Amino acid sequence: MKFFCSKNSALLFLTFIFLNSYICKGQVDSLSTSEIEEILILESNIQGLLFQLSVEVKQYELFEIENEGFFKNNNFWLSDTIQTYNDALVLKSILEERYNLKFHVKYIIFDKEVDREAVDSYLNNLIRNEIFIPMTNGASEVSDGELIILGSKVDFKPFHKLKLKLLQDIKVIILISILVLFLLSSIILVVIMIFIKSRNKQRNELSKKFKELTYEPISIILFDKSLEEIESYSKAEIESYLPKNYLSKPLFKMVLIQEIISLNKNMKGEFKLKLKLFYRKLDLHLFSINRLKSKSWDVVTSAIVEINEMDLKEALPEIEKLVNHKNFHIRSSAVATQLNLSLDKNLNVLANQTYPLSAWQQMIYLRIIKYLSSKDVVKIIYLMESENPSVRIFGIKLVRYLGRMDRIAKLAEMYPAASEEEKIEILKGFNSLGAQTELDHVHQSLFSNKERLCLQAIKTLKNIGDEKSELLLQERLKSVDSFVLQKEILSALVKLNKDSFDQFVMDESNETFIAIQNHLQDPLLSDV
Amino acid sequence: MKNVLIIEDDKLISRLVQFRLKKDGYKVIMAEDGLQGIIAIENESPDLIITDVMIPFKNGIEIINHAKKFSPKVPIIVLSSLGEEEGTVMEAFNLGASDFIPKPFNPNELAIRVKRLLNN
Repeated sequence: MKFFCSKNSALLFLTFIFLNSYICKGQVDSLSTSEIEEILILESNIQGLLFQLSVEVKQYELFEIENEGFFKNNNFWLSDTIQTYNDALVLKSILEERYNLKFHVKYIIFDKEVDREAVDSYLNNLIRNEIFIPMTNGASEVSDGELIILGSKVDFKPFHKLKLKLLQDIKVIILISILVLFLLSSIILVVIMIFIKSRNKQRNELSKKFKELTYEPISIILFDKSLEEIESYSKAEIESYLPKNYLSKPLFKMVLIQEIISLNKNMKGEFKLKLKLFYRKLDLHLFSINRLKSKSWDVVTSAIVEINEMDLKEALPEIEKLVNHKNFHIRSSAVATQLNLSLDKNLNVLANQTYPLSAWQQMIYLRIIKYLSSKDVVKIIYLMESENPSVRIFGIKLVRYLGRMDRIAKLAEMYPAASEEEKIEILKGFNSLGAQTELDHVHQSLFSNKERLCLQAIKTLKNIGDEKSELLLQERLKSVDSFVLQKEILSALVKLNKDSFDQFVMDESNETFIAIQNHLQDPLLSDV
Repeated sequence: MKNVLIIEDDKLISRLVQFRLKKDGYKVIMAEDGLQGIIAIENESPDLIITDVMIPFKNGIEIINHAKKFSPKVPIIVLSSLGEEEGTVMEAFNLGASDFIPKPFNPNELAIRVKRLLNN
């Protein structure tokens, strides 16, 4: 027994070594006959494989062999089928020793007798297809290799059976991933949109509700209370006219401010003062000033508008910080508020603008400056001397818009060093203010090779030109190829001196000039 | 009690005017747009109409036109922003508007004008 155990252990060890090696190789190599022999010895049961012992028939042995359970088949005595190869070998060994006969092991695969080569092939096929996994018995220690073998005892499932071929292509996987990502992003976006929409809807409904709540208190304050009464009220007394606890809600405050601002724009006289007092008594001015610190440009801009509308001069230092803000809306509103509330006749806030002024900004600032100039003389000279070209141009325009004759000399002084755009505006100023003293500058521009500047010079001379201008216009006409300039010069000449113009056209005998002359003299076409 | 119809899309202004006129004892009907205004003119037979020029669906000029056809004697006060064109105001008067009040306005002044027109 001890011999068997030690022998088995040794065989097991050897089996481990070669099993590990062939498992590591991926179970694809065929096993040799000796390896198959070892597996047969170690395995207790191999599906479909049985064994039988056979011995040649001899008459005198008949009785004894029959006692061993053998039966006769032609010239051989055959044993019953034996489950394991090991049992067959043991029995063979015992019987050979007992009867001194040569016994043979026969191999039966699915009831069919086969030779040893077929058994090797059969076992190799079983192992290669993982239908049969060789196991080890009696190993005392568990190794990684053994675990792999044990793990392999699980019912066979082909590795690629359930996998889609599509998923084996990396491009398809990337494409599917992108589509899934896109789908997820879309879903997230839709969810966010629905959330924002519902939040806005809720906010709008709440605003409507708050608006309804403000009508009555504002009406009572405006119509039932005098200015002196409102002045004498404490904050708590004013608050008592409003719905309780609502003033702590920022949205309610914002709605209330909007309504006050809207009324302030539409009301005049004592009502404006009452609204401003009402606004201050409720400390809404502090709320507006605090909103200047917001990170949202629209909140800051509306806060600036509120400060402007409610004349919150105490907020000017904060507004001043925003006059050169990178955001157009904040910057425009801050400059407009600074101009409006500071009443700075030097217009420093505008002169020190670092960003270019748009036409829209110029229109807004013009309205405020017109209002300021109705109270005091504004010093537009600072704008004309600004380092910002767009501010300089705005300053030049203001000379014309405000009819500042006293600044014609300054325009003339600027003219030589001015840019084309500035020169055009200066010429418009000369034209509008009838600055005949500055004709030399106009004459100079008449011979400019820049068409826009030349055109403006002609238009200016048309209104304020003298005899010298006539001659210069005639001279310029000879060197001009542009039809627009030719027409404008001839139009100016007609206006300045029609006789001289007719004589000039006659002398020149130029077909184009004659055609333009006919056009200008036609009462129906002259203004076309 | 005299009926005054206010056609104004700015709710706050119409509520304030309503509040002020109610204090003087008038019954005030409010319409938020031109269509509501026309329906109110036909159904409520107001004694005086106050209308803004710029209102949704039908403007102030169309309101005056309709009111003058429906009840020619009803006085109409036009409320309008100063920014609106002079031509519109002139057209309103030509169509038969009784008075014109530019915005910004004083509600007390409006109340006095309403009283004067209704007493006449």
